[in-house]
Parts: sequence; structure tokens; C-alpha cells
Amino acid sequence: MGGAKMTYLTIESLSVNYRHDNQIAPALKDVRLQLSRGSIAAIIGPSGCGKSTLFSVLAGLNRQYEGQVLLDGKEPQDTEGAALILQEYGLLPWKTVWDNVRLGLQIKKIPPAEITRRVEEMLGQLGLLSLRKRFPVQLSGGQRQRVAIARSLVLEPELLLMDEPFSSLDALTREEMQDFLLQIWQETGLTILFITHNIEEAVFLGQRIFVLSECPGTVVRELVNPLAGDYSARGKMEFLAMANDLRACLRGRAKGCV
Amino acid sequence: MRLSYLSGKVMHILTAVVILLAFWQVLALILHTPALPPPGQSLISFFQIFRSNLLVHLEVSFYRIAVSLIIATVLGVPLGLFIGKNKKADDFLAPLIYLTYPIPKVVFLPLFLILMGIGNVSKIVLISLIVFYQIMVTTRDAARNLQREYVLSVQSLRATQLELYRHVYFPACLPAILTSLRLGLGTAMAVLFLVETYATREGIGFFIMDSWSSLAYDKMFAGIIAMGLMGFLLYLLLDVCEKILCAWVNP
Repeated sequence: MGGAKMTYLTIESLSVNYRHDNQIAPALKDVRLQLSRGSIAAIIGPSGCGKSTLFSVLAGLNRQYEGQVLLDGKEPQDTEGAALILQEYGLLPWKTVWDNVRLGLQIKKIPPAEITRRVEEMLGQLGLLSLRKRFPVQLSGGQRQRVAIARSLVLEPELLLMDEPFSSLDALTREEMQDFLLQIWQETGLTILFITHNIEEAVFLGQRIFVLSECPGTVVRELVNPLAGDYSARGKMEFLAMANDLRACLRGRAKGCV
Repeated sequence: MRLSYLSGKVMHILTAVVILLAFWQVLALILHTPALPPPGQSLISFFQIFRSNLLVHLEVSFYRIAVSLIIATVLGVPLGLFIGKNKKADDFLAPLIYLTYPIPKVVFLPLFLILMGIGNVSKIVLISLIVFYQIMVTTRDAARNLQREYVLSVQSLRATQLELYRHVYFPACLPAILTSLRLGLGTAMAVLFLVETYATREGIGFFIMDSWSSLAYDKMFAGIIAMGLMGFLLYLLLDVCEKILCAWVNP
């Protein structure tokens, strides 16, 4: 790559409309966004601004969109490069940790011996091997999130999409998991895009922070954040200043932040 | 721990049996009528005629119940899952179901007897039809109320429709399916009794009615005990299935 950061994700004038009883409700309007390979970025904005819709497009679940969406030059439905982790993790309650992590490989028709090897390796790396026979209800919130991450990483994706990954965790577990995600990002070189409602989280993890507007959602501001990925940044003056900046932007969008 | 769980379960069952027998004894003493013989007498009669007489009838009845439940499940579960998953199919079929579900299917017994003869077929078809509805409607409701999130998360793994049924819809609906089977079993037993009182000389229902008409009340109650035991064993079987298949509900 020769130092130059290649673009992995390109979104150009993306619009999505939902149809409800012959009425058209716009969810996303003219979204423009670029992510370079191996970067980590946050999307932040008010509830119901189409963030989850954006992810369903990126994951290839929603094909009813206008505009251009390219992952490494391919349309979402033509690539298996993106892995989606839903808000409540989307773990299947009727499958054990092992079977949940195995599922994606099973669907891809990977030979069983290789599945076993890869799942075991992945669970080992994330410190989940001892939990492999448990069901999701028997796990703590943090453990569930780890299993969800394991389930995505075992597929060796290029882009990890996380919809409010840590929103249902308590404050301490949340920070732990943020550190954990950062560590994974640094080790794997994955491109990560996550949705959050938490300003500190966006500043702690997002090299780029995209602020979305209210319905229909569109990117109203893109912040470049040099503090992202610095474990010691929490509590520093610059960190607080950045968070305040972002907070002001979220609050005062009406007052010309755009 | 497993053993203590099992012995605890057995203790609970024994307690229930003792309470039931005591209640029966008291009722028999109060009513003091030959139509309700005390439990002791009925149990003696039960053990006396079990091998010689009851077992044959039980086998026939068990066959009818088991085959009916299997047919109802094999047809009701896939259809219920399909309708619950596909809104368009549901829009089309729901009115049809709601129109035909409330009709007591037993009214078709004469028709079935004429069409399918007085053998096992007409009886099994009638029981299957009734239980089929219960299983299908319950399965459909469970599939329809499934959280979108599970479907989405597996869809995002590029699962085919068949894989969605296999990994999401079927296992998610299994607890509901087993509940509907439990309810269906109760209904099936009731319908079994009814169909066995018409045009047959086999089955526990026939045996009970036959004993009644010859005023052999102790035999009649022996038959009732046999029928109760059969239902109880089937319930136990369903419980075991649930323990194994739905371990995730109460791990």
C-alpha cells in the first residue's frame, strides 16, 4: 500500500426510502461517507436518524437504495467482506457459544474440520474457550459482546459494522470492552464502523466521527479526531475538549454547526 | 445432582398420586354409589385384567394417538412456520384458518366414517385434523412474533431460506411447538375416547363404555386408570423431549 491509505468504503449520495401504506418515508438522504482501509470510525446522531438502515444497506440486507455504495469496489450484496453485529448482539439463544460462533462458517459450507480449528482458535484468542458450552442467557453482557465479536471475526471480514455495540453494558464493562475493541482493531487491522449514542465513546474510538442529522439522516459533519485509539486519552484535557466540541455540535446543529 | 433431581421428581409424582387416591377414596365414601367404586377395588381390578384384557386395548389406543400426533406435527409445524414467516401467505391463509378453526371437527365424524370406513383411518384422520390446527396456529404465532434481530443476524451471514428455517425459525419455535403438543395431547385423548365409542370393538374408550354398559364399574375405572396412565406417560415423554431439545430455555 506504500503508506498511502486506500479507501475501503465509499458511499455517494445514498438515499433510502421506506414505503408504509403507500406513503414514502425517507430514512436516509444523500449520505456521503468515505472510510480508508484499516481505519476506525464512529457514527453518532439522534435516535431514528436511519443509522441502522445505513448498516442494513452496508451488510447487504437492504437492496432498495439509491446512490452508490462500494466496499472495496464491490456492491454490498456482492461481497462477504462486511460483518454485522446488531445492537443486542443477535446471538441465537438456542445455540451454545460454540454453535453461535460456528454458524457463519457452517453457512459458508467450510469443511467441518476447518470450522472446528478456526472456532477453537478464535475462542481461544478472545478467552472464551471455557464458556463454549454455555448458552447466551448464561453469559454476562460483556461476555455476550465478546462472543458476538468472535462470531464476526471468525469469518475473517474486512469491515466490521457494530450497531451501538456497548450500549447495554454498565460503565466499567463498557470501558473494558472499548479497550478490548481497540486491541482487536490494532491487532487485526480491520476497518471498523460503529454507531454510538455515547459522545466519549465516539471520541475514544473514532478516528473519524460522522454526525448524522435527524430524519432523514444525512452526514452533517465529519470530525477528524487525532485522539482516537490512545488508551491514556480518557480524562485528558484535549479529550474533554473534543467531547465538548462534539456535544456542542450535536446540540446546536440548528445554530450553524453544519 | 442429576440423581437427586430425578428422585425429587419421583417424590413429587408419588405425592400427587397419594393425594389423588385419598381424594378419590373420600369421594367414594361420601357418594357411596356403585358408580364410583373406591380406588382400592378399582386398582385390584386394574392389575387383575391388565395383561389379559387392558393391554390389547391400550396398544390399539396408543397406536391411534401416537400416529395422529405424529401426522399432526409433521404437517402442522412446517405449515405454521411457513405462514408465520411469510406475511403474504399469512394474509391469504389467516382468514381461511380463522373460518375453519372454530368449527368443532368432531361433527365430521359421521362423514369420515362413511368416507374412510370404520377402521383406524377415519379415527386417526379426525384426531390428526383437530391436533393439527392447534399445533399449526401455535407454531405460526410463535414464528410471527420472533424477534427480527435473530433473523437479521443470520441473514447477514448470507443464509438461504432453508438455513433460516433450520437455524432460526424451527429452534426458536420449538418451545411453543412442545407446548402445543402438550395441549394437543389432552385434546387428542378426549377425541380418542369419543371416536372409540363409535363403531369399534377395540381401544380403551370402547373398553370403558363396554364396562359401563355391563355395569362393571370396577372394570370401567380400571380402564379410566389405564387411560390416565397412558396420557401421563406421553406427557413425561414430551417433558423429556423438552429437557433435551430446549435446554437453552432453562439451562
